[in-house]
Amino acid sequence: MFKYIVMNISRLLKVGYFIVLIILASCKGDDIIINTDNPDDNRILSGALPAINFSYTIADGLKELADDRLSVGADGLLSFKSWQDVSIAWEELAAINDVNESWSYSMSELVAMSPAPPLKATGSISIQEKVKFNTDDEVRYDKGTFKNGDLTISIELSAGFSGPVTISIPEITPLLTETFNATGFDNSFSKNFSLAGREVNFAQGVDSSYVTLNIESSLSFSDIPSGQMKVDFDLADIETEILFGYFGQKQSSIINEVKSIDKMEEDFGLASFELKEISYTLHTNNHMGVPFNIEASNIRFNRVVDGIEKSELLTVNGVSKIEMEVDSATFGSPIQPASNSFRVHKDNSNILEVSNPFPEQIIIDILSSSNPQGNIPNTQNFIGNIDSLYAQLEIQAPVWLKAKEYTRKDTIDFDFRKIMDQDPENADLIESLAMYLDFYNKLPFSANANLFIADADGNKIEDVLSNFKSLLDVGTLNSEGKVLEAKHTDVVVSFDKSQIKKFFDQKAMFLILETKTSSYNNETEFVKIFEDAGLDVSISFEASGRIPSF
Amino acid sequence: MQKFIYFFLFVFLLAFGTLIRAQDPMGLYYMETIPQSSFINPAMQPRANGFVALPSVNQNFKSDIAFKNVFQDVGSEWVSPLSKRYDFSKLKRATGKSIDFQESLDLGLFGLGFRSGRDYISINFGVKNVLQTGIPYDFISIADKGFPSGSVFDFSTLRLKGYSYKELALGYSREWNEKLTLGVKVKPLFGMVAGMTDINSFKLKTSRQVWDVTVSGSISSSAPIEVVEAEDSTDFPESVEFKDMDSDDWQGYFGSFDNMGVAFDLGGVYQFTPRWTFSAALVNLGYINWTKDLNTISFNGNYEFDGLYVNGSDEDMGDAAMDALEEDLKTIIDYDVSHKKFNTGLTPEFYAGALYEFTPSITMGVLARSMFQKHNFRQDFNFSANVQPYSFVSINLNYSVRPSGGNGLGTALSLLLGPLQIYAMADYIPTRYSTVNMDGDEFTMFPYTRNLSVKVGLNLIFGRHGYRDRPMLARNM
Repeated sequence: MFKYIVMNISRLLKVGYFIVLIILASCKGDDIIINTDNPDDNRILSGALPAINFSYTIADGLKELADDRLSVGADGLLSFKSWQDVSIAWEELAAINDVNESWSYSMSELVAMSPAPPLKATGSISIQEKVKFNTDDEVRYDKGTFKNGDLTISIELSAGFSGPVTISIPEITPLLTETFNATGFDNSFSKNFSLAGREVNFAQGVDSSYVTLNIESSLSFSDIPSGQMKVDFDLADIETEILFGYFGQKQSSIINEVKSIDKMEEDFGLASFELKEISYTLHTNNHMGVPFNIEASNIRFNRVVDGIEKSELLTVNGVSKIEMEVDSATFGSPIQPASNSFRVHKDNSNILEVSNPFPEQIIIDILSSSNPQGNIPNTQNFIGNIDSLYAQLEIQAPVWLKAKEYTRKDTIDFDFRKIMDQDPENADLIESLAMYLDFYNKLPFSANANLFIADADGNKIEDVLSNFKSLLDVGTLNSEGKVLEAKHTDVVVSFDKSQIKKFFDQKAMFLILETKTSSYNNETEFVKIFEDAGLDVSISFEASGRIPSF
Repeated sequence: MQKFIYFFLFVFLLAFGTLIRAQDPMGLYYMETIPQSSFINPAMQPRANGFVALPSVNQNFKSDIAFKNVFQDVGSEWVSPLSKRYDFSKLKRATGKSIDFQESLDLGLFGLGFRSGRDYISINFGVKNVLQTGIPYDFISIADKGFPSGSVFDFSTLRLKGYSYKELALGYSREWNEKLTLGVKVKPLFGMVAGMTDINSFKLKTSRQVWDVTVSGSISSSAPIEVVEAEDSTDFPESVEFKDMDSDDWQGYFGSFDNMGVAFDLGGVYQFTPRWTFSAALVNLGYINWTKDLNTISFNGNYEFDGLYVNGSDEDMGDAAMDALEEDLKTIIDYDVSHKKFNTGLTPEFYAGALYEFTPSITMGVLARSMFQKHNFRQDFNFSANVQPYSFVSINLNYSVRPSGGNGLGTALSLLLGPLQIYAMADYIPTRYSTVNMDGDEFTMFPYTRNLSVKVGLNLIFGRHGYRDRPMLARNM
C-alpha cells in the first residue's frame, strides 16, 4: 500500500514538474524597460502658495532705529528733535583770588612811651589791618561760606620782647583767633587756619570788601624797644560754597559752537523733503544768583548740496541775532534755577528757508553778559557750587512734510548661480515663477520703482519692473493728513523659463532697485507721519517646474 | 539604486498594507476534504467524520495596485509617475478614491470537529492580525499636477486600521434534509491591541492667497500608550508615548481576555439536483468592543494658512513667524482627548457559489466573493476545478478575477499520509513575470500581481472516506 502511494505521488510530482516548466516558459512576459533618468520627460508640476504677510509700521521703524531724536507726540505724530547742550563757563564771575598781605611795624613806634619806659617795663600793642578780598572795585562781596581756603598768618617779633600776642579776624565765624607767646628768644610764629566751613561776613569800605586782622599784645621788654614786628597774611586755595554780593558786569563768549545732525539722509531721507514746520529754540538755565543777557548770533545752517558745502544765515526779525535775558536764580535750599527760552519759528524768522533741505550742521556764536542792569540797590548776586550758565540749542520739527520724487537706488545681492547650486540643470527645471506682491499702504507716500537684474559689473541683464512701475498708492487722507484706509496695490514679478536660463547663463549677481517716493499731492499739500502709519505686504507665489530625476 | 527603491516600496506596500480579516484562499471553498473549508462557509461539512486541526498559517496580501499601475506601458518603454506620458486617469480607474493596501496573518493554533449524525460540530482557536491602510488618491494626484491654484484635495479616505485578536470559533452545521445544509459559527473574539483612524473629513483647498484645511476625525487606540493632555484641553496633547513595559508585561497584555467581541458566520448549501449544488455564506458579521487602555484623540477644525505673519518689530522675524505657525497648528484645530470605549467592525464578506459535479471525484465550481469596507467594495469571482484522483489526494485548480483589479491562477493541494493531512493553497498566483530593466539595472518582477493569498497547515483526519452514506466511487447513472 505504501509503495502504491509513493509511486503515485512520484508520478504526480513528475507531471507537476513538467507542468511547472511549461507554465514558467509561457508566463515569461516581455522585458520591461524603464528609464527614469530622463528629465526632459518628467512632468511639470505647478503650485500656488501664500508665503509671507509682512507688516511694518512707523512705530516698528522707531524701535529698530533706536534713535532718541525721534519721538511720538500725544497725538501720535512723529517728531524729530535734535539738541545740543552748551555750558558757558563763569568760574571767574565771583572767584576770590589768593590774598597775600604783609605788614611791618617799628617796635619803637608800637610801644612808644614818653617818657621812655623803664627797663623790664611792659607795653601794649593794638593793631587793626583791613584785608581786601575783591580785586575789582565794582565787585562787592557781602557774605560767603567757604568750602576751602588755607590761611596762614605769620608774626615775627624782634628779640627781647616777651609776652602773649593774640590775633583774630572778627568777620569770620566761628571766630578765627590765636595767641602766640613770645619768649624773647623764640619770637617767630606762624599759624595755619582752614576756612572750610567758616562763614565770612565781609566789612565794606569804599570799593572794598574786607576782613579785619586784629593783633593785640602786652609785651615786656628788657631794653629800649627796638626792631620790628612783621605780619604776613596768606590766603590760598579759596573755594566758596556760596558767595553773596555784587559780581559786576562781565562777559563770557563761545565762538563757533557746532551742532552736527548726523545720518539725516541715510536714516530718514529728511534732507530730501520739505518740512512744513521747524523751530529752533534757545533754552537757558541759570543756577547762579546773577541775571544774564544772552546773545546768540551768526547762526549758520550748513549742508552739502551736490557736493558743495552751503551755508545759510538764520535771521530773526531781520537780524542774525537772538537776544534774551535770564533772571537770577532764587536762593533757597535747594537753589531754584531760573530759565528762559527763545523760540525761532517760521513767523519770526527765515528758518523754513534755511532749514529746507534739512541742515547737517548748525553753527552759532554765543555771548553772555552778567548783571546787564548793573548794580541794582537792595539786590544781591550769589553764586553757589554751579558756576556755569547752561544753554540748550534745540532744533525740532514735526514730521510734516512734502516730498517730490525722493529718489534712491539700492543694490541687493542676487547671486543666481549660487541659488541654483551652480547647476544649470536646476535652473532648467524651473518653467515659470511669479511673485505676487499685494501692498496695503497706510503711509501718505506713493512709490514707483524700477527693478532690473544685473551681472557683477552692474550691466543690466533683464528688466523686472520698468518705467517706474507704481508700487504704492496713497489712500484717502483726513484733514489731519492721516491716511484713513490703506490703499491696495498689487504688483506681479514674473519670470519665464527663458529669462531664468538667461539669469544663469549671464551670471546674474545683483538686483538693482530704483525708487521714487513722493508724498501725497506733493505740489500743494504737506503730509503728517503718525506712528501707526505703515505698510503691509502680502507675498505669494505661483510657480511651475519640472520634477527632477531622482 | 532607483530599482531597489521602487521594488522595496512596492513590496512594502504589498506586505504591510493589510486587510481587516484574513481571507482564506477561494480555492479552499470547494475543498471538502479540508475541514477548514468551513472557515468560509460554516454549512460546509468536511468529508471526514472527525478532525483535529493542527497549526496553520494563512497569509493574505492584497493591493489595489500592481507594478503595472505604478509603472505604465507606453509602448516602447514603461514610464514612472514622474513622466509626462504617465496617465494618471488609468491609475485612478484602478484605485478609485483610495488606494488600499491590506495584509493579514492568521495563526490557527488548534481545532477539532466531528460528525454526529446529520450534525457537524467544530471548534477552532487562533490568533489574527490585521492591518489596513488607505491612501487617498488625491494624495497621489499631487504628483500629477502639484498644488495649482483652485485645487481641492480630498484626503478623507486616509485611514489606518490595525489590530490583533484571538478568535474562538464554535461551528455547527446540520443537514436539515437531503438537499439543504445550514451552518452557523459563533466566534467570541478577544482583542489584544488596536489602533484606528476615523477620518470624517480631511480636505485641502489651495489658492495663491490661502490654503484652507478642513479636518475632522479621530484616532483611537487600545494599546499601552500614554497621552498627556495639554494645559488647554483643546490643544494638541503635550505628549503621546508608549508605556515602558517589560516582556512579562507584554505577555500579560496579550494573554488577557479583555476587549471582548463577537462575530457570526452564517452559511447554507443547497443541493438543487444530484449534480448541481448552490451555496452561500455571510461571514464576519461582528465587532470587537475595545475597553482596555483606551485613548482617542479627536480633532475638528478649519485652518487657513495665508502666509507667515512677520512683524517689523520682531527682532528675529523668521523664528517668530515659525513659532506662531506651530502654535496655530496646535491650537486652531480643536483637539479632544478621551478614553471612551470604541468598536471596530470586522469586514463582512459574502460568498455565493455553484458547483457542478461531473463525478464524485471531479467537480467544477464558480464562486463570487463580495467584501464590504468603508470607502471600498471589492468583488472577486473564482472558477475552479476540483479533482480527487485518489482518496488520499485532492487538487483544486482555480482562476480568480477581480473586475478592475487583477486576475490569477490559484490552486490547492491536500495530501493524506495516514491520518495526517498536509494542505497548501494559494490564490492569485502570479501568472506572468518579466525582467525589468530600470536605468540599466535588471530584476525580476510580477508586473500584474496585486494579491497573493497563501494558506498552509496540518490536520489529523479521521474517517477520511467521507460522507456517511455517499460513495466515493463514480456514480453509475
